[in-house]
Amino acid sequence: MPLQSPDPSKATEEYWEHTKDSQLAMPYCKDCEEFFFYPRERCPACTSTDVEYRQVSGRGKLVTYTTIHRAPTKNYQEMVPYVNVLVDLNEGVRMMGNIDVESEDELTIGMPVEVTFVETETDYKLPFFRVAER
Amino acid sequence: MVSHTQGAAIVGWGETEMGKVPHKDTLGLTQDAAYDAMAMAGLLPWDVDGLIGSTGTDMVGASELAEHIGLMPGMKFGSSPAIGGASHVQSLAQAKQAVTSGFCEYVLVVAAGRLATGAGSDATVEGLAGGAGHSEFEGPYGPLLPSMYALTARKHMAEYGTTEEQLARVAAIAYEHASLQRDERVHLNKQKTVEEILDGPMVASPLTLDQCSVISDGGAAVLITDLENARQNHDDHVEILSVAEYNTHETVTQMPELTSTGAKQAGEEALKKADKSVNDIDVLQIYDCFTSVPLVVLEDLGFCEKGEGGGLVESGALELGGKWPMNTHGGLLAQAHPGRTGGLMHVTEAVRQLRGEAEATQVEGAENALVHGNGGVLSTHAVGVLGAS
Repeated sequence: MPLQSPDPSKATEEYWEHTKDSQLAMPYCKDCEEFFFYPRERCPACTSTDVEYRQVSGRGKLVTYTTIHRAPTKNYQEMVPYVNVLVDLNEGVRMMGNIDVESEDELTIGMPVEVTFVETETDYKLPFFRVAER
Repeated sequence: MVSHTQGAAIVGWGETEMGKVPHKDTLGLTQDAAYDAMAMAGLLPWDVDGLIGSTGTDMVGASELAEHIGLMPGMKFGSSPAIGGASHVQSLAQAKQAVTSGFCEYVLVVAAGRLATGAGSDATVEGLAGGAGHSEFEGPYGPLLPSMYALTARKHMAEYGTTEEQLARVAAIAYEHASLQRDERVHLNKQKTVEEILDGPMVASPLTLDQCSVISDGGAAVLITDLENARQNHDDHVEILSVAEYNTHETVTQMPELTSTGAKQAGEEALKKADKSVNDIDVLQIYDCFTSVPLVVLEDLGFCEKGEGGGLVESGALELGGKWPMNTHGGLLAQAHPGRTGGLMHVTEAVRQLRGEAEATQVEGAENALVHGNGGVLSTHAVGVLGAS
């Protein structure tokens, strides 16, 4: 069963549009000169409307992880156990994802990870992670 | 003109049966808890002119509930909880403001939920998961409330060497305290060892099932008035010495530091306003939806150094006879977690302790209690200091 698609809002549509091409793009505030995440229509730090999407490396470091054994939805019930993570991207934003590993024993906090994309029931793809190749 | 002191006090409390209560619906539980609190204070619904509570209906939740339980006509202050499990401690501050500013004379804080025999535990797990994380940037990854807390627990283990045994010990203490309660007051009343807790099914590593709150039915209430009225008309009132709140985020992805919480700022402010230190506190009521929560919150509140929560849990200080007995009712881990009521029994238990009504888990001579509430994923924190009359 494919994963459930996100349901974008006006503020997040552009983020999800990029995922159709397996691209990770983040909102960037041109006044703060910083990325922010998750997407909002205006910068939540300085209130600027001068926000554009910029493609990011998709590389970052593993912040923390947990293996989920009891899933909340049917799609995920087929996948248990799966490993859910937080990742700090090199561009300075943190995001949640799942990571493609056999077991959480393969993981160490701080290790380099990189983004991959997983199909959903629509054309939008969901950013996941894998351990970065050296 | 009515003259009011700056203080406020809790003059009544109520709790329904806890656990599985199939013969009552949520509004029935609400009425029971509310009327028990009123009866203790010698009041009828007509006397109560303020309410913090909700039927759950958007926008009119408080007025709808007020009508149902007989506070209409004549309600002068109505409000509803909005910061999750920290709401009920926050409500003490709102109630105090309402009665000391002359908005109204008596504020009822009440909540009830029916997760065990109402929604059912599977539906509750799915419902809470859907409602907890960010709908687009967390929800699609299939997280659970337990998994989002587990992310923070794992980080604490990596950063400070906190062990799975220390986490499980938090649950063992809760089960021990719950086992000493009367049957009808608790969802689970048997002791469990650390080994049994760790051997149970894994929900989201490192949290096993027994390290997650129980899913229960139940309701609770407290009644607040100004201190002068309490002194004149209500024996055994419990003074609300201070309340403070500090919130850092809603979704776990936005949590500024995964191993420290807004309980630090809220706790510092609450203790300062009450002119107390941790050594003045006789009994602790710490929000415990998962075992990792009290462990990190006690560090942030200053009951031990940062990173030493595991050692504090192992020291025996949090058990009956220890320096700071914690969650003497069994908490959300063992007494009951009836959804929206979550956190309110930490308040009623603090009041019981300070009135000398805590039966088998009474802390001898308890004069000051600290009560903490947490909402979201370690997101919202409210801390109150309560004192015996």
